[in-house]
Amino acid sequence: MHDHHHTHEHGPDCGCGSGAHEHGPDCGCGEHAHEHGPDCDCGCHGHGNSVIDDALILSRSGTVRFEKPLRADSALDALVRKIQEICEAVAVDRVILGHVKALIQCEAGQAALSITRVDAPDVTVVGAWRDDAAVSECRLSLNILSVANTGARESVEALVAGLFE
Amino acid sequence: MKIIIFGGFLGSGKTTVIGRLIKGLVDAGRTCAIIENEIGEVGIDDALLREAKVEVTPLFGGCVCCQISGSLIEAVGRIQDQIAPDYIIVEMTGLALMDGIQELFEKYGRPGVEVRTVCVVDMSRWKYLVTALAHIFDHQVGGADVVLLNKVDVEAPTDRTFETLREKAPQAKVVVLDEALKDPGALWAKLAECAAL
Repeated sequence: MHDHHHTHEHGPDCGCGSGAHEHGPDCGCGEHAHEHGPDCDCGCHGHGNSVIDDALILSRSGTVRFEKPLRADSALDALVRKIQEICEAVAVDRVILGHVKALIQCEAGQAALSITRVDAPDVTVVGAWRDDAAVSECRLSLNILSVANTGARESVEALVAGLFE
Repeated sequence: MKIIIFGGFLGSGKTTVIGRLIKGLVDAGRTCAIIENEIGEVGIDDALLREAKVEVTPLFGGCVCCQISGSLIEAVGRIQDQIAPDYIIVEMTGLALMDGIQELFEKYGRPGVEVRTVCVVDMSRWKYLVTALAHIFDHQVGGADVVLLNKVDVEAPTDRTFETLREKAPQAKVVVLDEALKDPGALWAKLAECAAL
């Protein structure tokens, strides 16, 4: 039997079948692209949203205590005013280029707060709410998202921390 | 099963609109489930949507348009297998770009599932959306089948508004969310007509 010897350089394109390289997504031969998927992080899919990377995103949950028990409607008003102060720090012309949201849970019930314009807080009661209930503390969940004034992060963090003291 | 994906800038009113739409759907005898994507670590919108007494799947830790799009595809598949509702409603984060979401489902979603995209636009911040926020706004309305103009009581759309939307979103049908469409049944009927749901 004739023993044929190769003299060429084996490689992915040589086609002799004897020198198969280790195929893999990174081998670069181009013949077996890996299975692309939305989370494959190969960087070929154009995913990646720089708007999110650059935004000011701050979330905090905790207990807010009042100096003395308040009626639920007064407690809610006081909390909204404090959150409006935080909104001022990220607002442009008193408009938030983003969103400040909060969920307030206390003896009176649950209420959600949404602010996009500092002067127009939108409070929505979730289920039942008793305005006349006595409230000494509440559980507050707060999300602050802004694509403007992102340099104000430190002062916003300080204001938020003060809220929970 | 159809998937209705809601996008639109932060605070545009997506959760409120979805809440009304669910009521309209349920009243019309349709079943639905919700996937709620929030960027912040604290879930607030899902607490509101759970009031509607439908299944809510929260997705945290990133945005479904890019960082956790695989989680969205998985969540849709899981709901399809376990609940098989008539509709899955997805609320994207307010920073999500919508122009790649149809393609995402075409590539990685299950065959036979139709996807419609709805972008809620906050008219009260229109001038900021088309200037300082133009980059994200263009990618949001540009990927929408239907654009819903919200908060029109604060700022009413003008001819220029519609002209701008025709330039930025020529593919989209534009609906003004006026007082009449605050009725859940009317909202559902309008969306069903505009998005062929």
